[in-house]
Amino acid sequence: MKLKSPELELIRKRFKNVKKIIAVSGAKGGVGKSTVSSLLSLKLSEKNVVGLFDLDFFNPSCHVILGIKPTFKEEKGIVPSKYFGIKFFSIVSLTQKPLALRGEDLTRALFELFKTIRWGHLDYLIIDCPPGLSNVFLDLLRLRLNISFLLVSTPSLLSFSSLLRQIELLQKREAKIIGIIWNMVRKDEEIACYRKKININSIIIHFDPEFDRKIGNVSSIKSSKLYQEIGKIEDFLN
Amino acid sequence: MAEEIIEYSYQNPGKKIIVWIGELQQIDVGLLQIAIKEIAKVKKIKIDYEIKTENVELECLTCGKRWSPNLENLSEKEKEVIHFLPETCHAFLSCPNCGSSDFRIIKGRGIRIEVKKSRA
Repeated sequence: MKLKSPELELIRKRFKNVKKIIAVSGAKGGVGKSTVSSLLSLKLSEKNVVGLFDLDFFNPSCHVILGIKPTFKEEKGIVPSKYFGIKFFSIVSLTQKPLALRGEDLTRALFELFKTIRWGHLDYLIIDCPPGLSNVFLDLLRLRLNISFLLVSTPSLLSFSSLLRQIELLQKREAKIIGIIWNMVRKDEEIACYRKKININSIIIHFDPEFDRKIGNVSSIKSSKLYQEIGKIEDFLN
Repeated sequence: MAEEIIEYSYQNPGKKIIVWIGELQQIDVGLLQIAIKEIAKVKKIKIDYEIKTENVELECLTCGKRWSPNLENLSEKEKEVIHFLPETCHAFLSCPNCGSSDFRIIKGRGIRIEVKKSRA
């Protein structure tokens, strides 16, 4: 599906007051993109105006992490509701029912939401991307909205090989990579061999065995070790 | 959208504007006509236009059945959601033959504007 220039114009207009767009991305599933996206949004919202856009139509989970039932307001488009100081939108803001879409429909849905959602002024828009390197990933690249990519990987060979493929694609498209989050690290030595092979800034977020029990409760999340560690990502962004 | 239609008319003087609205967009045509009339009045533009609805046609990708669903059977909430994001129809509709929600939207999505020479 080709994007017509008036549509692109409208999308750019919608994002003109968004200072920084960060796509939290990772080709491999289960590496913690939604957790990083949600906690980073909470952290940034302490000092900034932040939006969180869960772009995973198949398995949205940011709302589960934050423990919210998101809604929206209609006002010349979709105005996301605010939770814990974060403007939030996810497919579950529209429907809780499962939504399985094929490629072309996925692209149409993505463009429609980019045209319709009115984020207003934001210092940061955090986009929680689905895994994989297909529609959503490619569509974010072709929108040319000055999106910076924050890549998430775990210290496993499978995740690392997916990460390498994604970096190659992003570099070919001259997309900005903010850095790599090595997530769920148990021992720092685990990632030493991977770090040597990639010349991109990275930080380590250690595995927090207590975190699963805090999902859905923001005050518990804010007291977690993981939340303290997420603060390190802020240094990347400045 | 009313402004967009007026703009098309303004840029194509003496021509008729045909607005095709896909049924999935769930747009209130009456309200749209009122908005067009009001904006045209304020801007002092004479507009020759016609609004046509394109009915939904779906094709099941599991069994191949083609059908036109009756959107009136959906709840108001479901219709509102489809209005914002037509692709959410995959969550609310399924093939009447095999029950699959894996279908293709053949017709009835989106809005397109055609410019024709006025008959007058």
